[in-house]
This record gives sequence, C-alpha cells and structure tokens, in this order.
Amino acid sequence: MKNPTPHFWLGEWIGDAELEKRVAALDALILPAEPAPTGAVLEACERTSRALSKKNSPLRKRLERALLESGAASKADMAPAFSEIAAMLGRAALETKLKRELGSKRPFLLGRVSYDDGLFEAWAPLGLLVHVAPQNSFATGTLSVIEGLLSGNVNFLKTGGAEPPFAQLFLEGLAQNDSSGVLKNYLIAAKISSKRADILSKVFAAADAVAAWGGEDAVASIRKMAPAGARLIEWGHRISFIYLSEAFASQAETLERVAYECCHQEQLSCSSPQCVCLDTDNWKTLSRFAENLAKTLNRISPKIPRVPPDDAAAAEISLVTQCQELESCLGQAQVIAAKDGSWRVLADARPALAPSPLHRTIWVKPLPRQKIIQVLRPMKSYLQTAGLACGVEDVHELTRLLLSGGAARVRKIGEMTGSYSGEPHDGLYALPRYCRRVSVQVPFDGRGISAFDELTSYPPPAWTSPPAVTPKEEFSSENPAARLFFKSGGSTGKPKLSTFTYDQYDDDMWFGAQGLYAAGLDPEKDRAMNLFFCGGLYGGFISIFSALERLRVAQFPMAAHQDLKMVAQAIVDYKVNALLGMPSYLMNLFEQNAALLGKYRGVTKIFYGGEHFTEAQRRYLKKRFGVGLIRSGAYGSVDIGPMGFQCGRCADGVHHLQQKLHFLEILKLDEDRPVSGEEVGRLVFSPRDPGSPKPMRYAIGDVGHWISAEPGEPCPCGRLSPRFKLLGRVGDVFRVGSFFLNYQKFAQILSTHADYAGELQICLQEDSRKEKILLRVSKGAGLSAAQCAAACLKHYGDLAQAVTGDKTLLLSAEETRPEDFERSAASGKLLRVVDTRKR
Amino acid sequence: MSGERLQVPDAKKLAAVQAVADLADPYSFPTAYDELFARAMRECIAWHAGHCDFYRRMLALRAFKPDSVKNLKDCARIPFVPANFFKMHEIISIPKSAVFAHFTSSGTTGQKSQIFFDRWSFSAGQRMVDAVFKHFGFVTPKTKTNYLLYSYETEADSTLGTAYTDNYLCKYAPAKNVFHALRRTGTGAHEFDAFGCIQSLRDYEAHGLPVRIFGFPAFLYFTLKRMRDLKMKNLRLPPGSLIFLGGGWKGHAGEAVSKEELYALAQERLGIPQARIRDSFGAVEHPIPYCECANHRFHVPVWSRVVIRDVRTLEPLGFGKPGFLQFLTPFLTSIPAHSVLMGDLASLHPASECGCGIESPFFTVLGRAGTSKNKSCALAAAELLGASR
Repeated sequence: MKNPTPHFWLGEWIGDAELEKRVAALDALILPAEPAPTGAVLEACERTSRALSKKNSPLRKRLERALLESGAASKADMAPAFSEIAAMLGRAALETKLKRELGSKRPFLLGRVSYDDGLFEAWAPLGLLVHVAPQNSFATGTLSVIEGLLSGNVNFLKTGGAEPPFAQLFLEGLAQNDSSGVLKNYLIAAKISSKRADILSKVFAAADAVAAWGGEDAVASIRKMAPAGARLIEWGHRISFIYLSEAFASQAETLERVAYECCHQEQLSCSSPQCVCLDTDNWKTLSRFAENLAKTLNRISPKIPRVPPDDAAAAEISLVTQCQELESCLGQAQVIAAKDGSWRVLADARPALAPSPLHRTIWVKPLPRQKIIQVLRPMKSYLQTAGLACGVEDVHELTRLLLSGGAARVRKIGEMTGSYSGEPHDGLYALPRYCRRVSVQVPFDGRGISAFDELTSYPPPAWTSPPAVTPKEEFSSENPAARLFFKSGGSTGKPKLSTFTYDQYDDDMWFGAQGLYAAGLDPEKDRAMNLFFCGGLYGGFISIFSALERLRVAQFPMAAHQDLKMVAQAIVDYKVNALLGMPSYLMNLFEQNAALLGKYRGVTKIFYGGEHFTEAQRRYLKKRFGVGLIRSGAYGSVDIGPMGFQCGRCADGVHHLQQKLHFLEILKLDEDRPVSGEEVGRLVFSPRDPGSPKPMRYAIGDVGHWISAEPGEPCPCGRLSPRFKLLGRVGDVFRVGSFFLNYQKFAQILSTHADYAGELQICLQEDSRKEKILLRVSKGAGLSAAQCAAACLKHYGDLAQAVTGDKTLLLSAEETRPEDFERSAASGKLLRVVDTRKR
Repeated sequence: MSGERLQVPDAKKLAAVQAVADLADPYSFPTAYDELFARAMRECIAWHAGHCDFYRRMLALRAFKPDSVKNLKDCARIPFVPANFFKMHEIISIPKSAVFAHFTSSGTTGQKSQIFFDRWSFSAGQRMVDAVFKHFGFVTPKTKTNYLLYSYETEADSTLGTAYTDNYLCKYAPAKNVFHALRRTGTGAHEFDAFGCIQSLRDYEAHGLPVRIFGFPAFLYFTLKRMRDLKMKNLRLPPGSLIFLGGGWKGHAGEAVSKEELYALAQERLGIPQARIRDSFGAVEHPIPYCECANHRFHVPVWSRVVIRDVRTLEPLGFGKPGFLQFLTPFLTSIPAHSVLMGDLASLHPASECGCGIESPFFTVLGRAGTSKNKSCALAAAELLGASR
C-alpha cells in the first residue's frame, strides 16, 4: 500500500500535495538564525547511535522493516550496516570529526584570529543545504544530512521515488532523540522522483548549496537546475586499484590478499580494486602473475559467499570479456575465467587503468613506476584508493607517485574498503565544503574578549527534576577514556584522582587561557613567570603552563621554587613583568626579596589562584613594588577545571562564570534550595557537556553570592555571563552557637582595620563548657594577639554578640611562627579553619 | 536510383552476397532466401578471412571453420564481434585506397570509432534505405516538402554520420524549405534552436505543404514540451506529413520519455497521426535500416537476421526472451561486422505478434546492456586506451 504521507518536513509527516505546496514556498522559508546547535546534534546522534546498536530498539526495527520491504538490503546486510552507522554517529566519533574537519568542537563560535587586533573568525552554515541521495546506497544520503547538521545547515534530503523511506524514518528518529526539540527545524526529507523537474527545480532554486551524490548524469542535471550562486558539492563515483612491486607480486600472501579484494563485496564499493597494476613492462611477468592470481582465485573465491550479478551486470561482464578475448587477436591480452563463470582475470598490455564490470572481474596491467603519474593523471578526479604491496625500501617512492598521480588513499591490500573515524572522503573533508568561513572585525577595542560566546548567555539545562547534589567528598570522575590524571581534593579529606581525556583537558585549558586574557594578561607584550606549585600529581603549575602556552605568551616556567632569591633574581634578569602564583608564595617571595624587587619595580601584574590577597597585601604590593594589576588569574579546580574568571571590571572576588563549561547554581548553606538575591550560599556546578564524566550538581566546597543584575544586563565589560562573588571555602563558614561566621570576614577586618598582611588561621575548639575560637596570626607581622582579638570583636557584630552578648563563645588569639601553622600535606596550602570540635 | 549497376568487389567470390543485397523487396521472405543468406554469409566470412588479419586470428581463436555454415541455423554459430570493439579499434578488410567513406561514431561512453566503407558497402546500404522508404510509401518525388531536421546543420567537412543520413533522407521528397534544429554557432559547436523549430513548424502549417521531421527524438520532445509549456495553440500540419526519428536519446537519457508518450504528444501538438510517426534503429557498424512499421515494430528486413543471446551464457534464445541483440548481414565487405553483437538488450518476436502484414519477425529494444558505473571514468579510460595504442 502506498504511504499517504511519505515526506518528513520539519518534524511532521506530509503527503504529496502538501509537499508540492510547501516546495513552491520553499524560497520564502525563514531559516533559523542560529546554526543547528552542535550540542543537540551530538546528543541526538549519540542517542540514535545507541538505539541503532540495539537489535530490538523500535527505531532499528522500523528501519529494518523499511529496508527489507523495499529489498534495498538483505537480512545479512543489516547487522554490519547498522553497527557501522552506529559507530559513525557516536559522540566521540563526531567530536573527532568536528575537530579534524572544522578544527573545533564549537565551530560556529567567533573566536580570535590573534590577540592584538579586533578580528574574529568562525565557521557558518551555508543555509539551506539540499542533499541528493544516491540510489545505490541507502545510508549515504542520511549520513550526508548528519554532516549537514554538524555544519549547522538546514537540510533538505531528496530521496528517489523508488527508495525505501529509510532516510525519512531515520531523521524522524533523530529528531525524537533530540531533547532540545530544535533539530527538527533543520530536517526535511522528501521522496521526489528525479523526473519531477518541476518540483526539483523549485527545491534547487531555494538552495544555498546542493550536495550531489551519484552518477555523472544526475550531477549534470542538478548543475543545470541549481541557481548560479549555490555551491554545488559533488560526490561522484570513484575507481580504485592495486599497485604491486615486482617482488611482492609473486608472493603467495599478496596473491591471496588481491584475490580476497576481488571477491569482497563483489567489488561494488568505490574502494574495491578494479585493476591490478604491476611495476613491470614485461608481458611475461604480467602473464605469469595473471595465471598465479587465477590459481589463487580458484582457491579463495569459493570460500567467500557470492552475490551473483543481476542481468545488467552479467551483460556488462559478458561484453567486456568478449572484447578482451578479441584483444588477444590484436596484441598482448589474455582472459582467464573460472569454469563456472564466478570470476575472471583480464590481462592486458596497455598500462592505462580500465573500469571493471566488477563481480570478481579484475584487470591486470603493466605500470612501471616511472609511468605512474603520466598514466594516472588523466583519471585523477576519478581515483580513490590505491591498494599497495611493496617492501619498506619502496614505500616512500611508490606512495608519493600514487598520491601525485591522483590516488586519494593508499591502503594495505586486504583492507582497501576499510576506513577510520574522521577520514577524509575522496580526498576532502565534508564539513568545510558544507560551511563558509566568516570573519568579523569588531567596531570597538575588543581586547580581553576571546570569543563571542562570552557576550551571550546560556539557558539553564532542561532538567525535568534536578539531579541530586554531589558533595565534595563524593567527587569522582571515573572515565575509561581518561589519559591524564591529577590528584584531587588537596584541601579537604583524602586525595582522590581527577581524570581527563586530553580533549577535555585541551578544552579546559583554552577556557583557562580565555580567563587569563580577560583578566588582563597581554599575550603580545607580557613576560610571564609561572610560579604555581608543581609535582606530586598537582595540577596547578601544569594547567597554568598549558593556558599560557595556548596564549603563546612569553613564559618562564619557574614553578614555586623554594630558592626565593634565585626566583627574584630571575624575574629581574629576564625582565619578567607578570607573575602567576598563589598569594602565600608570592607574599613570601616579595617579602624576602623586598630590596631587589622593590628596586626593580618591574612586576606590573599578578594573577593569583588558590587563595586570596587581602586588602592589606594588595596595598603593600602596589606601594612597595609598583604592582598595578592584581587579579584572580582563574577560579578553577583540578576536579572540574576553570569555573570563573575576572574581567577588568570585576571587583575583588567577583568572577564571571565559565558558562560554556558549567551551569552554576548557588544553594543555601544548609539546604539544597536556591538562595534569593545576593544571599550567601554554596556554589554548585554542573557540566554543560552532557558527555562529561564530571559529576552533576557538584558542590565544589566554595561559598559566594550572585552579583545581582537585571536579566539581560551585561557586566560593564559587555559580557552576559553570570557573575558571582567568591567568599571562600565552605569550611570558611562555620557554625558556632546560633551564628554562621566566616573566615573571610575575620581576614577582611584584620586587613582593613589592622593593616595586617600576614597569614590567618582559625582553630575551632571546645572545652568542657563552651566552644572556642583561636585566631592564629603570623609572628612578627606587626599584629599582637590582643590587637587581633580586639579588632575582630569591634568590627564583627555577630562575633561580639556571641562572645560578649550571649557569652556562648570564647575568643582568643596567638602569634604563630610560619612552620607552626597547619598546612595541607598535598598542596602546601594554609588550612584556614581547623575544626577539632568533637561534634 | 543510379543507372550504373552496383557490384560487389569480387563478383565470383561474392555472388551470393550480391544476390542478397540486390533483393529489392525488404520484407518478402520466400524460404529459398534462407539458403541464399547462409551461402552469402559463408562467402562473406571467407572474404574477411582472406582480407583481414584480425578476423583470421579471431576465427582461429574461436576454432571456427567457415565451411561449417551450411544453412541458416548454422549462421547463429558464426563468431561475432561486439560493436563496441569497432569503437576501440580501426579494423578494416580493404586497402585504404579503396575507402569510399568513413564515419566517426561516438559511442555512448564517448569513444570515437572510425568505420570504413568501400563503395559497395556504402552504396548497398543506401540502396536498402531507398527500398525501405519505398516500401512504406515515403518516396514522393512529385510532392514539394518542408523539412525540419533534428540533426546537426551541415558543414562541408562534417564527418558526423547522422547529419549525413538526414540530408540524404531529404531526397525522397523534394525540399522546399529545410530548417536545422541543431544550428551551427560558427565556433565549431551546435546549439539547439527551439524557437526556430516552433517558428518553422508554424510557417510550414501555413504553407500547406507536407512536412517531414527527421532526427533525434530528444529534440523533437523538447520542441513539443516548449509548445506545451508556452500553452501554444496545437498545430495541424498538412496531410502527408511524416516524422521519422533516429539516433536515440543519446546524451539526454535522463530526460527520456516513453515512445508512447512522445508519439501521443506529437500527434496532439502537430496533428500528425501516430501511424506516420516512425522511429528507426541502426548503427554505423551495422548500416541496415530498421524502420518502424505502422504498428511501431522493428521488422527484420531481408538483408539481415537477428539472434538474441543470453547475457550470461551467450547462447541463442528463442522468441520473447530478453538478451543481447546480435545482427547478421553478409553485405559488408569493408569491415568484418557481418556478425555483430550490439550493446543493446532486445527480444525477438514472430510477425504474428504485430499484425501489420509484414511477414518477418520484429525485435523490441529494451535498453542498453550492462552498466557503466561511471561514465566519465570509462570515458577517461577509453581515451587513455586510445592514446596508448
């Protein structure tokens, strides 16, 4: 029975009359302003891939039924075909494809060309991309649409009038697997006979580009109908062949492999050989090879199940064989055929490649290596795979000659039809052909902005119900694909591993680099010294190194070396102006080399991480050493990578969210509910990339509050990414009695009101009756224990209430030598709150 | 048509060949002709074996003895040469000095072949066309006629076979006006002039003289389609008008419509009854005229025989089964194409299935045999083969 609605149009099934109506208005179709969102494409493909790998999934059953009913594929073809398609649609395979072909997993993002101008480039879709599916392969058109989606286009797939509705059902399945629901707006698949020039001409007239698969005639008629401005992307048929060095031509293994290729898939693949060329011009050698190959085929061919040729193919075989038999009356030519007609070897003294009628028919031709280029070149645009057998001494020369002659791939004989993920197609990558490369020069000073995504905002994830919050202690990032391991959780609890693939790490580092650039690092002029801690699986130094490397900034990878004098001298000697490190280390460096660095006054920028500078420390560094810019270089963690960065307009502690990597929530301190307004709460991050092995709703252990802004109101820097003020560790906020007290508040009071620039550690203890706070300050930093306690009581209302009002809390202070502060064994970081209470 | 009697190159050795070619009534088949035909074929085989090295070696390769052809049935065993082979090699059975005409035929995959004719072979072929036209009553020397030729506008140096044929066909009715649909551009190329065709047809309708339309069906179709697209008034061409097509849809296969559709459209648009619309079939390698009868069947004329061969085993098939189309004709002395396997699929049918009154069987062409997966590729290969020869 004829399907009354055989066309899949932007999410709905429609009939012929409706199709004609819509095609007539196709040129007025308003295309989405955004390229097909890569994240949604990858997600839908991954889910479709999983569905296709399951034999019993409804989608696979629907597709199999369509193929069987139309006879487009046999039962035996199903399993390999579906597993091949499933493999191509996997997230990892498509991400690799994007990176190889468009150089980025976010190809449509306008990104900087260089750091000293306002120029940005990106890929952009062509618009309406019409795909004309070939008739000989049911999946090709569909996969071309996937490539069209990856390149952001709205896709119109024309399938033939007689084809099964495979593509239509497939694309419906894909749209159903898209949780964002937007991909259907990029998908049309219509069954239109090639004879319906009236409909097709309208389709082509509306096209921005046409991807044409199939024979020459089809492509020629499309070229006539497509508008002049439309890009025509041709994927024509190709011819493949085998080349053998003389020594290898006589080896039994080579003969077996050649025989296998002649039988495999009845040579119907474009990468199956049609011709074997020998590096010889001696007819006797060639004839002997042909006889040996015939003997081998006699043995191998019966072992490979045969798909007999249909009448047309059989006729072609008969004609070619007859002609070649007659050739022997004119010159050197030979036909050796199987008794039962299952295979034939056609030896011929003329070196040119000849197309074979396939079905185990192979030409054998002489082609001395000196003639390879001359003979192949006229067929260059039709050549695809050259199967090669030769020794290591010949491989360089022969490969170069075959590629220069026009072969697009050189492969091992026996694996000619194989391919690998991300492989170019007939010498070209598809995605760049389906895209334009566009450039933008911004009409203002765009310094600090690395990519245009910083100027947009991202919607919250579409959770039906939010997943559970993952506490810091339960962090894990198990990933079998991981290749890079760091120690996680230096400041709390037992160390675990944080794992990355190199791709994830690379991504994270690009964002880290963006953050540093936004914070004011000048990749063109600055000379940066990386002073973060290194070794022991610690990620600090390494990741900053990687970020600086991506910025191509002058870098001195010193690490947090303990010979501070040497470090200071190096800064002076190498004219370093930008330091990157942890505040405690940097403070030590400046204090212990105050004379040298005070005289140099060449350090103009400090980018810190891991801890904070107090107000007093900042004042000291500015006044004494002339440091003009002190900014957080990155708010990041080894667990989940860069989370925030500071722009030039961010006040102390305020960060922009790395919104492309993370979705941020701020939840109340004591329950899993969002805070309101600028209320202080716990920072909870979820990866934007659904394929990320990092935990969802990860409570990283930091506290902070939103910087309120009207919706859509950007930061004065122009960025729309959410801003938050980082207030410190969850441990910084501790409960005593009925109050939440904050380490940061103590530190800020001492810095602001007592001009204290030393270290501060708060110890929570209890005696038999009351809880007790012990404030430890650096001995010799100019602040006495008594001054310390007095300042805190005077300026911290809640503290004063508990100590002097309610009298539920004891407060004391002591001056402590640096080595007596408690520090993290892993990272050497100061432990700010040491809680030894029993509760 | 010419006063001088046309003679085979060797009257003694080719007596039967002469006799067959001299048969004047194309579709009359007394059984006696079968024996004559077999004898003529035997003479022809011997002739080529004596004049063509290639043919002699081929007979050896096929271990074929010319003397083994005793009757018509034996003719089916005569080794054949694929027509395609003549497109790849220049094969000749006469000295170059005896070449009277040569034709370049472009194959469907683009190869160009040189086919050589001596005076006999060429003129005997022409005479057969005369006989066929006469049989169908298309020879009207007293009626001035307007011509629309869907063929290449002639150039003195034209070596394209179809162009020659169509001019030649004009001799059966004296020409008043001739319009070429494929006009010279002056740069060595030709352009299809649809508006010129339509204008000529309108003029011809007004003239009142019979119109003859000859040539490629594709361009006739394009003309009719243009008339339909422009919603033009249907024409009523004068009585006695004739459409005689040939050459197939070469190069326009993608746009081809069925014969029935084309004929119906032509009848509707031009007012020519379908019985006066005829297609023809022929090849440079086998210049026997096959012309559709009033029922649009290709009957086999007295000068040739048709064998249909299984595409796999190459064994002869009976009536009604599809296979390779093979022609046998004894009259060619310049090339050994007297047994030629065409690149077409066809089936053979007894005369009774037609009913037009012609007694000989007819064949139906079913399409090209085989599949050239990549035409341009095959073309590039063919050119290379040519270059390396």
